[in-house]
Amino acid sequence: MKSSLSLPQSLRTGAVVFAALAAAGWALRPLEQTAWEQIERDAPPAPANETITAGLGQAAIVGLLGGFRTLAADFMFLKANADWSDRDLRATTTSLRLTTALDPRPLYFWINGARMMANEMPGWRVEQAGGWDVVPPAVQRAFTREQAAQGIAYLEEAIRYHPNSPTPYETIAFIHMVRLHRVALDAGDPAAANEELLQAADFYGRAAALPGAPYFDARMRGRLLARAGRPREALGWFVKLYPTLPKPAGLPGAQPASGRGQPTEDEVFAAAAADVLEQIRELEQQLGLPPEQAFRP
Amino acid sequence: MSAERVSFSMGRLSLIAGNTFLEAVRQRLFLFLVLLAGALVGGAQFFHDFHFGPNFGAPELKFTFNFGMGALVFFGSVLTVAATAQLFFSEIENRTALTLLAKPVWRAEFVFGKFLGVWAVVGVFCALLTGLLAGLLAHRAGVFLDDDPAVFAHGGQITAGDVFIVGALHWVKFGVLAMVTLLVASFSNTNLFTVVTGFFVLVICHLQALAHKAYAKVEASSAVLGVLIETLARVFPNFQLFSLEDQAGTAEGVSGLLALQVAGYGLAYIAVFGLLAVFSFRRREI
Repeated sequence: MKSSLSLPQSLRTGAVVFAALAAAGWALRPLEQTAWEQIERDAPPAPANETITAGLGQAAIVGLLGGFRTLAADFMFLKANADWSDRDLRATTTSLRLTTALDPRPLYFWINGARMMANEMPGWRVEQAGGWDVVPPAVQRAFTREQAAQGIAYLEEAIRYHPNSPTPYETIAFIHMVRLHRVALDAGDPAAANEELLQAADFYGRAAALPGAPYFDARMRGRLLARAGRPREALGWFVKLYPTLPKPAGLPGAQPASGRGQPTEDEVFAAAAADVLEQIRELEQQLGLPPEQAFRP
Repeated sequence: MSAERVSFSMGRLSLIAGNTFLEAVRQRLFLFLVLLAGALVGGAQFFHDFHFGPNFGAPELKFTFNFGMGALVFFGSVLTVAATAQLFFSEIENRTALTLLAKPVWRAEFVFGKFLGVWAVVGVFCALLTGLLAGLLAHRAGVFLDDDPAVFAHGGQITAGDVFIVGALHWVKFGVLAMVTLLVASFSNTNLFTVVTGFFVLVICHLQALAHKAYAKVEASSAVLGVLIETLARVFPNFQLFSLEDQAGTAEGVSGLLALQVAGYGLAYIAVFGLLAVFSFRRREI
Protein backbone atom coordinates (compact mmCIF):
# COMPACT_ATOMS: atom_id res chain seq x y z
CA MET A 1 0.00 0.00 0.00
CA LYS A 2 1.32 3.43 -0.87
CA SER A 3 1.33 6.30 1.53
CA SER A 4 -2.26 7.46 1.70
CA LEU A 5 -1.81 11.24 1.35
CA SER A 6 1.11 13.59 0.62
CA LEU A 7 1.99 16.14 3.34
CA PRO A 8 0.39 19.28 1.80
CA GLN A 9 -2.61 17.20 0.86
CA SER A 10 -2.78 15.85 4.43
CA LEU A 11 -2.63 19.36 5.84
CA ARG A 12 -5.37 20.54 3.49
CA THR A 13 -7.53 17.54 4.36
CA GLY A 14 -6.87 18.07 8.07
CA ALA A 15 -7.81 21.75 7.82
CA VAL A 16 -11.03 20.94 5.99
CA VAL A 17 -11.92 18.24 8.54
CA PHE A 18 -11.16 20.59 11.45
CA ALA A 19 -13.17 23.44 9.95
CA ALA A 20 -16.10 21.20 9.09
CA LEU A 21 -16.18 19.68 12.57
CA ALA A 22 -15.96 23.09 14.24
CA ALA A 23 -18.82 24.32 12.01
CA ALA A 24 -20.86 21.21 12.82
CA GLY A 25 -20.14 21.73 16.52
CA TRP A 26 -21.38 25.31 16.34
CA ALA A 27 -24.43 24.31 14.30
CA LEU A 28 -25.37 21.54 16.73
CA ARG A 29 -24.71 23.67 19.78
CA PRO A 30 -28.35 24.63 20.52
CA LEU A 31 -29.42 20.97 20.35
CA GLU A 32 -26.54 19.90 22.55
CA GLN A 33 -27.04 22.70 25.04
CA THR A 34 -30.73 21.98 25.58
CA ALA A 35 -30.09 18.28 26.14
CA TRP A 36 -27.01 18.88 28.28
CA GLU A 37 -28.83 21.29 30.61
CA GLN A 38 -31.50 18.69 31.28
CA ILE A 39 -28.94 15.94 31.82
CA GLU A 40 -26.97 18.09 34.26
CA ARG A 41 -30.17 18.81 36.20
CA ASP A 42 -30.83 15.09 36.64
CA ALA A 43 -27.21 14.07 37.24
CA PRO A 44 -25.67 13.65 40.70
CA PRO A 45 -24.79 17.00 42.23
CA ALA A 46 -21.36 18.25 41.24
CA PRO A 47 -18.84 17.29 43.87
CA ALA A 48 -17.39 20.08 45.95
CA ASN A 49 -14.19 21.44 44.50
CA GLU A 50 -12.17 20.84 47.61
CA THR A 51 -8.66 19.62 48.24
CA ILE A 52 -9.56 15.98 48.22
CA THR A 53 -11.38 16.13 44.91
CA ALA A 54 -8.89 18.46 43.29
CA GLY A 55 -6.00 16.28 44.45
CA LEU A 56 -7.47 13.25 42.85
CA GLY A 57 -7.83 14.84 39.45
CA GLN A 58 -11.47 14.13 39.93
CA ALA A 59 -12.61 16.17 37.01
CA ALA A 60 -10.92 13.69 34.70
CA ILE A 61 -12.31 10.74 36.58
CA VAL A 62 -15.83 12.09 36.46
CA GLY A 63 -15.47 12.99 32.80
CA LEU A 64 -14.26 9.55 31.87
CA LEU A 65 -16.81 7.74 33.96
CA GLY A 66 -19.67 9.63 32.36
CA GLY A 67 -22.91 8.15 33.64
CA PHE A 68 -21.15 5.50 35.65
CA ARG A 69 -20.14 7.53 38.65
CA THR A 70 -22.68 5.63 40.71
CA LEU A 71 -21.12 2.30 39.79
CA ALA A 72 -17.62 3.57 40.55
CA ALA A 73 -18.89 4.91 43.89
CA ASP A 74 -20.42 1.53 44.72
CA PHE A 75 -17.10 -0.17 44.10
CA MET A 76 -15.24 2.48 46.08
CA PHE A 77 -17.59 1.92 49.01
CA LEU A 78 -16.85 -1.80 48.80
CA LYS A 79 -13.17 -0.90 49.03
CA ALA A 80 -13.92 1.32 52.03
CA ASN A 81 -15.54 -1.67 53.70
CA ALA A 82 -12.53 -3.85 52.93
CA ASP A 83 -10.28 -1.14 54.40
CA TRP A 84 -12.60 -0.91 57.40
CA SER A 85 -12.33 -4.66 58.03
CA ASP A 86 -8.52 -4.26 57.92
CA ARG A 87 -8.84 -1.35 60.42
CA ASP A 88 -6.77 0.78 58.07
CA LEU A 89 -7.68 4.28 59.21
CA ARG A 90 -6.09 6.28 56.44
CA ALA A 91 -7.28 4.02 53.62
CA THR A 92 -10.82 3.84 55.02
CA THR A 93 -11.06 7.62 55.33
CA THR A 94 -9.72 8.15 51.81
CA SER A 95 -12.04 5.53 50.32
CA LEU A 96 -15.05 7.00 52.09
CA ARG A 97 -14.24 10.50 50.86
CA LEU A 98 -13.70 9.23 47.33
CA THR A 99 -17.00 7.35 47.46
CA THR A 100 -19.02 10.43 48.35
CA ALA A 101 -16.99 12.59 45.96
CA LEU A 102 -17.95 10.24 43.13
CA ASP A 103 -21.61 9.98 44.07
CA PRO A 104 -22.92 12.09 46.93
CA ARG A 105 -26.54 10.99 46.46
CA PRO A 106 -26.87 7.84 48.58
CA LEU A 107 -27.23 8.91 52.21
CA TYR A 108 -26.12 5.40 53.10
CA PHE A 109 -22.54 6.29 52.19
CA TRP A 110 -22.49 9.43 54.33
CA ILE A 111 -24.21 7.98 57.37
CA ASN A 112 -22.21 4.76 57.50
CA GLY A 113 -18.99 6.57 56.70
CA ALA A 114 -19.58 9.06 59.52
CA ARG A 115 -20.39 6.24 61.93
CA MET A 116 -17.11 4.53 61.03
CA MET A 117 -15.20 7.76 61.60
CA ALA A 118 -16.84 8.76 64.85
CA ASN A 119 -17.60 5.45 66.51
CA GLU A 120 -14.94 3.00 65.38
CA MET A 121 -11.85 4.93 64.39
CA PRO A 122 -11.12 6.20 67.94
CA GLY A 123 -10.68 2.55 68.97
CA TRP A 124 -8.37 1.87 66.02
CA ARG A 125 -6.22 4.83 66.94
CA VAL A 126 -5.96 3.66 70.54
CA GLU A 127 -4.92 0.19 69.35
CA GLN A 128 -2.35 1.68 66.98
CA ALA A 129 -0.96 3.79 69.80
CA GLY A 130 -0.36 0.73 72.01
CA GLY A 131 -3.74 -0.42 73.29
CA TRP A 132 -6.34 0.55 75.88
CA ASP A 133 -4.11 -0.33 78.82
CA VAL A 134 -1.17 1.71 77.54
CA VAL A 135 -2.69 4.86 76.07
CA PRO A 136 -3.55 7.41 78.79
CA PRO A 137 -7.30 8.11 79.16
CA ALA A 138 -6.77 11.77 78.24
CA VAL A 139 -5.24 10.70 74.90
CA GLN A 140 -8.06 8.21 74.34
CA ARG A 141 -10.56 11.01 74.90
CA ALA A 142 -8.65 13.27 72.52
CA PHE A 143 -8.86 10.56 69.84
CA THR A 144 -12.60 10.28 70.39
CA ARG A 145 -13.07 14.04 70.15
CA GLU A 146 -10.98 14.29 66.98
CA GLN A 147 -12.77 11.41 65.29
CA ALA A 148 -16.18 12.71 66.35
CA ALA A 149 -15.27 16.09 64.85
CA GLN A 150 -14.24 14.35 61.61
CA GLY A 151 -17.52 12.43 61.49
CA ILE A 152 -19.53 15.59 62.18
CA ALA A 153 -17.65 17.53 59.47
CA TYR A 154 -18.38 14.68 57.04
CA LEU A 155 -22.08 14.83 57.94
CA GLU A 156 -22.15 18.61 57.57
CA GLU A 157 -20.92 18.09 54.03
CA ALA A 158 -23.72 15.53 53.58
CA ILE A 159 -26.23 18.19 54.64
CA ARG A 160 -25.09 20.39 51.73
CA TYR A 161 -26.19 17.66 49.34
CA HIS A 162 -29.22 16.50 51.37
CA PRO A 163 -30.58 19.65 53.00
CA ASN A 164 -34.04 18.17 53.46
CA SER A 165 -33.07 14.87 55.01
CA PRO A 166 -33.28 14.58 58.80
CA THR A 167 -30.85 11.60 58.92
CA PRO A 168 -27.53 13.54 58.89
CA TYR A 169 -28.86 15.85 61.64
CA GLU A 170 -29.95 12.83 63.69
CA THR A 171 -26.53 11.22 63.26
CA ILE A 172 -24.73 14.39 64.38
CA ALA A 173 -27.07 14.59 67.36
CA PHE A 174 -26.31 10.97 68.23
CA ILE A 175 -22.54 11.62 68.13
CA HIS A 176 -22.96 14.55 70.56
CA MET A 177 -25.35 12.62 72.78
CA VAL A 178 -23.38 9.38 73.02
CA ARG A 179 -19.72 9.82 72.07
CA LEU A 180 -18.94 13.37 73.13
CA HIS A 181 -21.22 13.41 76.17
CA ARG A 182 -19.53 10.25 77.47
CA VAL A 183 -16.05 11.70 76.87
CA ALA A 184 -16.95 14.87 78.77
CA LEU A 185 -18.32 12.86 81.70
CA ASP A 186 -15.18 10.68 81.76
CA ALA A 187 -13.09 13.85 81.82
CA GLY A 188 -15.01 14.95 84.91
CA ASP A 189 -16.50 17.97 83.18
CA PRO A 190 -20.29 17.96 83.74
CA ALA A 191 -20.69 21.41 82.22
CA ALA A 192 -19.16 20.22 78.96
CA ALA A 193 -21.28 17.06 79.13
CA ASN A 194 -24.39 19.21 79.48
CA GLU A 195 -23.26 21.32 76.55
CA GLU A 196 -23.03 18.14 74.44
CA LEU A 197 -26.60 17.22 75.38
CA LEU A 198 -27.73 20.71 74.39
CA GLN A 199 -25.92 20.37 71.06
CA ALA A 200 -27.65 17.02 70.52
CA ALA A 201 -31.01 18.61 71.41
CA ASP A 202 -30.34 21.37 68.89
CA PHE A 203 -29.62 18.91 66.06
CA TYR A 204 -32.65 16.76 66.90
CA GLY A 205 -34.67 19.97 66.81
CA ARG A 206 -33.30 20.84 63.36
CA ALA A 207 -34.12 17.32 62.16
CA ALA A 208 -37.65 17.59 63.59
CA ALA A 209 -38.26 20.80 61.65
CA LEU A 210 -37.73 19.05 58.31
CA PRO A 211 -40.66 17.66 56.32
CA GLY A 212 -41.08 13.93 56.81
CA ALA A 213 -38.93 13.82 59.94
CA PRO A 214 -39.75 10.92 62.26
CA TYR A 215 -41.72 11.83 65.39
CA PHE A 216 -38.96 10.68 67.71
CA ASP A 217 -36.73 13.62 66.64
CA ALA A 218 -39.00 16.08 68.41
CA ARG A 219 -39.37 13.85 71.47
CA MET A 220 -35.58 13.46 71.67
CA ARG A 221 -35.11 17.22 71.65
CA GLY A 222 -37.48 17.64 74.59
CA ARG A 223 -35.96 14.79 76.58
CA LEU A 224 -32.40 16.01 76.01
CA LEU A 225 -33.34 19.53 77.11
CA ALA A 226 -34.74 18.06 80.30
CA ARG A 227 -31.61 15.92 80.81
CA ALA A 228 -29.40 18.95 80.25
CA GLY A 229 -31.10 20.72 83.16
CA ARG A 230 -33.51 22.87 81.18
CA PRO A 231 -36.89 21.50 82.29
CA ARG A 232 -38.77 24.72 81.60
CA GLU A 233 -37.52 24.85 78.02
CA ALA A 234 -38.30 21.16 77.64
CA LEU A 235 -41.80 21.67 78.98
CA GLY A 236 -42.41 24.54 76.58
CA TRP A 237 -41.22 22.36 73.69
CA PHE A 238 -43.45 19.41 74.62
CA VAL A 239 -46.45 21.66 75.19
CA LYS A 240 -46.04 23.05 71.67
CA LEU A 241 -45.45 19.58 70.27
CA TYR A 242 -48.39 17.74 71.82
CA PRO A 243 -51.23 19.39 69.86
CA THR A 244 -49.46 18.63 66.58
CA LEU A 245 -49.29 14.87 67.22
CA PRO A 246 -51.83 12.32 65.99
CA LYS A 247 -53.44 10.77 69.04
CA PRO A 248 -55.34 7.57 69.72
CA ALA A 249 -58.99 7.86 70.68
CA GLY A 250 -59.42 8.56 74.36
CA LEU A 251 -56.26 10.61 74.78
CA PRO A 252 -56.87 14.28 75.65
CA GLY A 253 -56.99 16.40 72.54
CA ALA A 254 -57.75 13.46 70.21
CA GLN A 255 -59.88 14.45 67.21
CA PRO A 256 -63.03 12.41 66.57
CA ALA A 257 -62.63 10.03 63.62
CA SER A 258 -63.87 11.69 60.44
CA GLY A 259 -62.78 9.13 57.86
CA ARG A 260 -60.70 11.26 55.51
CA GLY A 261 -57.19 12.43 56.41
CA GLN A 262 -57.10 10.28 59.52
CA PRO A 263 -53.64 9.23 60.71
CA THR A 264 -52.83 5.57 60.31
CA GLU A 265 -52.40 3.26 63.27
CA ASP A 266 -48.64 3.20 62.64
CA GLU A 267 -48.46 7.00 62.67
CA VAL A 268 -50.37 7.18 65.94
CA PHE A 269 -48.04 4.59 67.44
CA ALA A 270 -44.89 6.39 66.20
CA ALA A 271 -46.09 9.77 67.46
CA ALA A 272 -46.38 8.34 71.01
CA ALA A 273 -48.56 11.23 72.17
CA ALA A 274 -49.26 9.46 75.48
CA ASP A 275 -45.50 9.46 76.23
CA VAL A 276 -45.28 13.14 75.42
CA LEU A 277 -48.19 13.90 77.76
CA GLU A 278 -46.53 11.82 80.46
CA GLN A 279 -43.30 13.82 79.99
CA ILE A 280 -45.29 17.05 80.32
CA ARG A 281 -46.81 15.89 83.59
CA GLU A 282 -43.41 14.79 84.94
CA LEU A 283 -41.83 18.12 84.05
CA GLU A 284 -44.75 20.05 85.59
CA GLN A 285 -44.26 18.03 88.76
CA GLN A 286 -40.50 18.60 88.67
CA LEU A 287 -41.02 22.35 88.27
CA GLY A 288 -43.67 22.36 91.01
CA LEU A 289 -46.24 24.05 88.81
CA PRO A 290 -49.64 24.63 90.50
CA PRO A 291 -52.56 22.72 88.96
CA GLU A 292 -54.04 25.85 87.41
CA GLN A 293 -50.88 26.33 85.38
CA ALA A 294 -50.80 22.72 84.19
CA PHE A 295 -51.11 22.05 80.48
CA ARG A 296 -54.70 21.44 79.35
CA PRO A 297 -54.81 19.74 75.97
CA MET B 1 -16.31 3.01 -16.90
CA SER B 2 -15.34 5.08 -13.88
CA ALA B 3 -17.15 5.07 -10.56
CA GLU B 4 -18.08 8.74 -10.94
CA ARG B 5 -20.12 8.07 -14.07
CA VAL B 6 -22.62 5.78 -12.38
CA SER B 7 -25.18 7.07 -9.96
CA PHE B 8 -25.02 6.44 -6.24
CA SER B 9 -26.61 3.07 -5.54
CA MET B 10 -28.23 1.99 -2.30
CA GLY B 11 -28.12 -1.57 -3.68
CA ARG B 12 -24.33 -1.57 -3.91
CA LEU B 13 -24.11 0.12 -0.53
CA SER B 14 -26.30 -2.51 1.12
CA LEU B 15 -24.30 -5.27 -0.57
CA ILE B 16 -21.09 -3.91 0.96
CA ALA B 17 -22.87 -3.45 4.31
CA GLY B 18 -24.19 -7.03 4.21
CA ASN B 19 -20.77 -8.47 3.44
CA THR B 20 -19.19 -6.36 6.17
CA PHE B 21 -21.81 -7.55 8.63
CA LEU B 22 -21.24 -11.21 7.77
CA GLU B 23 -17.50 -10.78 7.94
CA ALA B 24 -17.81 -9.08 11.34
CA VAL B 25 -20.07 -11.65 12.97
CA ARG B 26 -17.70 -14.40 11.85
CA GLN B 27 -14.87 -12.71 13.70
CA ARG B 28 -13.79 -14.28 16.97
CA LEU B 29 -13.57 -10.82 18.51
CA PHE B 30 -17.32 -10.33 18.19
CA LEU B 31 -18.18 -13.69 19.72
CA PHE B 32 -15.60 -13.27 22.45
CA LEU B 33 -16.87 -9.82 23.43
CA VAL B 34 -20.52 -10.90 23.31
CA LEU B 35 -19.78 -13.84 25.59
CA LEU B 36 -17.64 -11.80 27.97
CA ALA B 37 -20.07 -8.91 28.23
CA GLY B 38 -23.03 -11.30 28.47
CA ALA B 39 -21.33 -13.20 31.30
CA LEU B 40 -20.65 -9.93 33.12
CA VAL B 41 -24.23 -8.72 32.75
CA GLY B 42 -25.65 -12.13 33.69
CA GLY B 43 -23.21 -12.37 36.59
CA ALA B 44 -24.42 -9.05 37.99
CA GLN B 45 -27.32 -10.93 39.63
CA PHE B 46 -24.83 -12.61 41.95
CA PHE B 47 -23.92 -9.24 43.43
CA HIS B 48 -27.06 -9.12 45.57
CA ASP B 49 -25.15 -7.80 48.55
CA PHE B 50 -23.46 -5.02 46.59
CA HIS B 51 -26.23 -2.52 46.96
CA PHE B 52 -26.01 0.61 49.02
CA GLY B 53 -29.29 1.87 50.24
CA PRO B 54 -31.51 1.57 53.26
CA ASN B 55 -33.75 -1.02 51.60
CA PHE B 56 -33.52 -3.91 49.21
CA GLY B 57 -34.99 -3.43 45.77
CA ALA B 58 -34.25 -0.11 44.14
CA PRO B 59 -30.54 0.13 45.13
CA GLU B 60 -29.86 -3.40 43.89
CA LEU B 61 -31.64 -2.78 40.59
CA LYS B 62 -29.69 0.47 40.13
CA PHE B 63 -26.42 -1.30 40.81
CA THR B 64 -27.24 -4.14 38.40
CA PHE B 65 -28.33 -1.63 35.76
CA ASN B 66 -25.18 0.46 36.09
CA PHE B 67 -23.04 -2.64 36.06
CA GLY B 68 -24.72 -3.98 32.93
CA MET B 69 -24.52 -0.65 31.13
CA GLY B 70 -20.88 -0.34 32.18
CA ALA B 71 -20.18 -3.69 30.51
CA LEU B 72 -22.09 -2.61 27.39
CA VAL B 73 -20.20 0.67 27.08
CA PHE B 74 -16.78 -0.81 27.73
CA PHE B 75 -17.02 -3.86 25.47
CA GLY B 76 -19.14 -2.01 22.93
CA SER B 77 -16.45 0.64 22.56
CA VAL B 78 -13.77 -2.01 22.14
CA LEU B 79 -15.88 -3.83 19.56
CA THR B 80 -16.71 -0.67 17.63
CA VAL B 81 -13.16 0.64 17.31
CA ALA B 82 -11.48 -2.73 16.78
CA ALA B 83 -14.05 -4.11 14.32
CA THR B 84 -14.21 -0.91 12.26
CA ALA B 85 -10.45 -0.66 11.90
CA GLN B 86 -10.04 -4.39 11.30
CA LEU B 87 -12.75 -4.60 8.61
CA PHE B 88 -11.52 -1.50 6.80
CA PHE B 89 -7.86 -2.48 6.73
CA SER B 90 -8.57 -6.13 5.88
CA GLU B 91 -10.04 -4.85 2.59
CA ILE B 92 -6.91 -2.81 1.91
CA GLU B 93 -4.36 -5.40 3.07
CA ASN B 94 -6.07 -8.23 1.16
CA ARG B 95 -6.28 -5.97 -1.90
CA THR B 96 -10.02 -6.59 -2.15
CA ALA B 97 -10.53 -2.83 -1.90
CA LEU B 98 -8.54 -2.42 -5.10
CA THR B 99 -10.72 -4.92 -6.92
CA LEU B 100 -13.88 -3.45 -5.49
CA LEU B 101 -13.06 0.19 -6.18
CA ALA B 102 -11.86 -0.65 -9.70
CA LYS B 103 -15.50 -1.47 -10.43
CA PRO B 104 -18.15 1.26 -10.71
CA VAL B 105 -18.46 1.64 -6.95
CA TRP B 106 -18.50 5.02 -5.28
CA ARG B 107 -16.07 5.56 -2.44
CA ALA B 108 -19.04 6.93 -0.49
CA GLU B 109 -20.79 3.59 -1.02
CA PHE B 110 -17.72 1.82 0.28
CA VAL B 111 -17.38 4.04 3.38
CA PHE B 112 -21.08 4.07 4.27
CA GLY B 113 -21.39 0.35 3.45
CA LYS B 114 -18.56 -0.44 5.83
CA PHE B 115 -20.13 1.82 8.44
CA LEU B 116 -23.59 0.27 8.18
CA GLY B 117 -22.12 -3.24 8.39
CA VAL B 118 -20.19 -2.42 11.55
CA TRP B 119 -23.08 -0.48 13.03
CA ALA B 120 -25.40 -3.42 12.47
CA VAL B 121 -22.98 -5.73 14.26
CA VAL B 122 -22.71 -3.32 17.16
CA GLY B 123 -26.51 -3.06 17.10
CA VAL B 124 -26.80 -6.83 17.52
CA PHE B 125 -24.32 -6.61 20.40
CA CYS B 126 -26.32 -3.81 22.08
CA ALA B 127 -29.65 -5.58 21.51
CA LEU B 128 -28.36 -8.83 23.03
CA LEU B 129 -26.95 -7.11 26.11
CA THR B 130 -29.86 -4.75 26.72
CA GLY B 131 -32.29 -7.66 26.26
CA LEU B 132 -30.35 -9.72 28.77
CA LEU B 133 -30.15 -6.80 31.20
CA ALA B 134 -33.84 -5.93 30.86
CA GLY B 135 -34.77 -9.57 31.51
CA LEU B 136 -32.51 -9.73 34.53
CA LEU B 137 -33.90 -6.50 35.99
CA ALA B 138 -37.50 -7.61 35.37
CA HIS B 139 -36.77 -10.92 37.10
CA ARG B 140 -35.24 -9.25 40.18
CA ALA B 141 -38.02 -6.64 40.32
CA GLY B 142 -40.56 -9.50 40.27
CA VAL B 143 -38.79 -11.19 43.19
CA PHE B 144 -38.83 -7.94 45.19
CA LEU B 145 -42.48 -7.26 44.39
CA ASP B 146 -43.42 -10.78 45.52
CA ASP B 147 -41.74 -10.09 48.86
CA ASP B 148 -43.17 -6.60 49.29
CA PRO B 149 -45.68 -5.14 46.80
CA ALA B 150 -44.82 -1.61 48.04
CA VAL B 151 -41.06 -1.98 47.54
CA PHE B 152 -41.04 0.48 44.65
CA ALA B 153 -43.65 2.83 46.13
CA HIS B 154 -41.07 5.62 46.14
CA GLY B 155 -39.71 4.81 42.67
CA GLY B 156 -36.56 2.97 41.79
CA GLN B 157 -38.01 0.37 39.43
CA ILE B 158 -36.03 0.36 36.21
CA THR B 159 -38.36 -0.46 33.36
CA ALA B 160 -37.45 -2.40 30.22
CA GLY B 161 -38.30 0.75 28.25
CA ASP B 162 -35.66 2.75 30.09
CA VAL B 163 -33.08 0.01 29.56
CA PHE B 164 -33.76 -0.11 25.84
CA ILE B 165 -33.72 3.67 25.44
CA VAL B 166 -30.37 3.97 27.25
CA GLY B 167 -29.01 0.99 25.27
CA ALA B 168 -30.22 2.53 21.99
CA LEU B 169 -28.49 5.82 22.77
CA HIS B 170 -25.25 3.99 23.41
CA TRP B 171 -25.73 2.31 20.05
CA VAL B 172 -26.04 5.73 18.40
CA LYS B 173 -22.89 6.82 20.25
CA PHE B 174 -21.08 3.73 18.94
CA GLY B 175 -22.24 4.79 15.49
CA VAL B 176 -20.50 8.14 15.92
CA LEU B 177 -17.42 6.33 17.23
CA ALA B 178 -17.43 3.95 14.24
CA MET B 179 -17.63 6.89 11.84
CA VAL B 180 -14.79 8.67 13.64
CA THR B 181 -12.74 5.48 13.35
CA LEU B 182 -13.56 5.27 9.63
CA LEU B 183 -12.52 8.90 9.21
CA VAL B 184 -9.18 8.13 10.86
CA ALA B 185 -8.84 4.93 8.80
CA SER B 186 -9.51 6.89 5.61
CA PHE B 187 -6.13 8.63 5.87
CA SER B 188 -4.23 6.31 8.20
CA ASN B 189 -1.68 3.77 6.99
CA THR B 190 -2.01 1.23 9.77
CA ASN B 191 -4.66 -0.60 11.69
CA LEU B 192 -2.84 0.03 14.99
CA PHE B 193 -2.73 3.80 14.49
CA THR B 194 -6.45 3.81 13.72
CA VAL B 195 -7.34 1.75 16.79
CA VAL B 196 -5.20 3.85 19.13
CA THR B 197 -6.52 7.11 17.68
CA GLY B 198 -10.07 5.78 17.89
CA PHE B 199 -9.65 5.15 21.61
CA PHE B 200 -8.07 8.57 22.14
CA VAL B 201 -11.01 10.19 20.41
CA LEU B 202 -13.36 8.17 22.63
CA VAL B 203 -11.65 9.53 25.73
CA ILE B 204 -11.56 13.09 24.37
CA CYS B 205 -15.24 12.99 23.48
CA HIS B 206 -16.06 11.90 27.02
CA LEU B 207 -14.02 14.79 28.38
CA GLN B 208 -15.49 17.32 25.96
CA ALA B 209 -18.04 18.52 28.52
CA LEU B 210 -15.17 19.47 30.81
CA ALA B 211 -13.66 21.55 28.01
CA HIS B 212 -16.90 23.51 27.89
CA LYS B 213 -16.72 24.16 31.62
CA ALA B 214 -13.12 25.28 31.25
CA TYR B 215 -14.21 27.56 28.41
CA ALA B 216 -16.80 29.15 30.66
CA LYS B 217 -14.06 30.03 33.16
CA VAL B 218 -11.57 31.27 30.53
CA GLU B 219 -14.15 33.32 28.61
CA ALA B 220 -14.31 35.89 31.37
CA SER B 221 -10.55 36.46 31.43
CA SER B 222 -9.71 36.44 27.71
CA ALA B 223 -12.21 36.57 24.86
CA VAL B 224 -9.73 35.40 22.19
CA LEU B 225 -8.52 32.48 24.26
CA GLY B 226 -12.08 31.69 25.13
CA VAL B 227 -13.17 31.47 21.49
CA LEU B 228 -10.13 29.31 20.67
CA ILE B 229 -10.93 26.87 23.46
CA GLU B 230 -14.60 26.86 22.53
CA THR B 231 -13.73 26.05 18.92
CA LEU B 232 -11.47 23.23 20.01
CA ALA B 233 -14.22 21.93 22.29
CA ARG B 234 -16.71 22.11 19.39
CA VAL B 235 -14.59 19.88 17.15
CA PHE B 236 -15.41 16.81 19.23
CA PRO B 237 -18.92 15.59 19.99
CA ASN B 238 -20.01 15.37 23.61
CA PHE B 239 -20.30 11.65 24.41
CA GLN B 240 -21.55 12.30 27.91
CA LEU B 241 -24.84 13.38 26.36
CA PHE B 242 -25.52 9.74 25.54
CA SER B 243 -25.34 8.61 29.18
CA LEU B 244 -28.88 8.89 30.46
CA GLU B 245 -28.37 6.21 33.12
CA ASP B 246 -29.07 8.68 35.91
CA GLN B 247 -32.63 9.18 34.65
CA ALA B 248 -33.47 5.49 34.77
CA GLY B 249 -35.20 4.44 37.97
CA THR B 250 -36.47 7.94 38.72
CA ALA B 251 -40.18 8.62 39.04
CA GLU B 252 -40.26 10.21 35.56
CA GLY B 253 -38.00 7.62 33.93
CA VAL B 254 -35.87 8.39 30.89
CA SER B 255 -37.32 11.31 28.97
CA GLY B 256 -38.34 10.23 25.46
CA LEU B 257 -37.99 13.77 24.13
CA LEU B 258 -34.50 14.11 25.54
CA ALA B 259 -33.57 10.72 24.10
CA LEU B 260 -34.79 11.85 20.67
CA GLN B 261 -32.78 15.06 20.92
CA VAL B 262 -29.65 13.14 21.84
CA ALA B 263 -30.26 10.57 19.09
CA GLY B 264 -30.68 13.43 16.60
CA TYR B 265 -27.42 14.95 17.78
CA GLY B 266 -25.67 11.59 17.31
CA LEU B 267 -27.15 10.99 13.87
CA ALA B 268 -26.12 14.47 12.75
CA TYR B 269 -22.55 13.74 13.83
CA ILE B 270 -22.64 10.38 12.03
CA ALA B 271 -23.58 12.23 8.84
CA VAL B 272 -20.87 14.88 9.33
CA PHE B 273 -18.13 12.38 10.12
CA GLY B 274 -19.35 10.17 7.26
CA LEU B 275 -19.11 12.97 4.70
CA LEU B 276 -15.66 13.88 5.99
CA ALA B 277 -14.56 10.24 5.82
CA VAL B 278 -15.73 10.09 2.19
CA PHE B 279 -13.97 13.39 1.43
CA SER B 280 -10.73 12.11 2.95
CA PHE B 281 -11.02 8.64 1.39
CA ARG B 282 -11.61 10.09 -2.07
CA ARG B 283 -8.20 11.75 -1.87
CA ARG B 284 -6.47 8.60 -0.79
CA GLU B 285 -4.38 6.46 -3.13
CA ILE B 286 -4.93 2.77 -2.62
